[in-house]
Amino acid sequence: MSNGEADPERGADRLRELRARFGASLHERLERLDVLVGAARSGTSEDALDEALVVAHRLAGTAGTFGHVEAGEAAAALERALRRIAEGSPDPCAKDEAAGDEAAGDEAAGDEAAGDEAAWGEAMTALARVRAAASSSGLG
Amino acid sequence: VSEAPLRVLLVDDDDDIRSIGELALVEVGGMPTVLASSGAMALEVAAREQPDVVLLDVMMPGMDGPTTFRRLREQPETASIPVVFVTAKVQRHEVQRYLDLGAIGVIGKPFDPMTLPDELRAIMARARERG
Repeated sequence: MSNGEADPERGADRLRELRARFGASLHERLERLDVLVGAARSGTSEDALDEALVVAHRLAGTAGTFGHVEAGEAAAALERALRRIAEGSPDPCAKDEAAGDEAAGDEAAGDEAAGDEAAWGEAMTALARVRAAASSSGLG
Repeated sequence: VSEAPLRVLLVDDDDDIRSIGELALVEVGGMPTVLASSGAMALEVAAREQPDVVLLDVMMPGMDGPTTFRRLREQPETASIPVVFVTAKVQRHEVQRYLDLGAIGVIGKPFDPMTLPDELRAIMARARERG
């Protein structure tokens, strides 16, 4: 277990170092997020959505803690939108149940597509907000 | 007589959160701290180090926070160690769910590294008052 001697001055120095290190890594994280979100939206990778969720979740938790509140809030909005998309993926059981009523099934599919499109719109807006917030902080 | 500092186990899969959390607890709060990057590691470290409190991230790959919490309760040597969840999900019903599991408190993410130790001390004090 580490020593528990409080040293606020040393703490402040180390906090500056950690913040600088975090800032330096942000550009790479945003590029990764861009690639993953793009791949998830175009459907070119099955795992991209899950990976984008992990990156967005981590960024939401860390950016604010490192003092980049706006970037963190935008990352949290991105995470929420991506989660809605992930959770809104067609449920095979629901599809089977709806199969007996073609009209209801078509309507449900239309609602689902519209919901997905809205969530993607929110995701892309949130991603742009993360980039803008990072850029205005001199990061990313 | 000054109170002995809290000994903390911080569990989070994110390197950055472990780094800044350790900095906050040790340098700002004067709390001896040990780290774990997964639920499985937390079970082992908690049994060995016997911390006064575990700060446990909720969303972790593999064994998540609530599962780790249940496993800590199942191990006789860690069953009584207080646990505080750390999570971005701090809506009232979510916080209540973690408290109902048996956690003594919930700390939201993002957290302020400069006030994290005080927040943890306050949660521990309230838990002691509740008995």
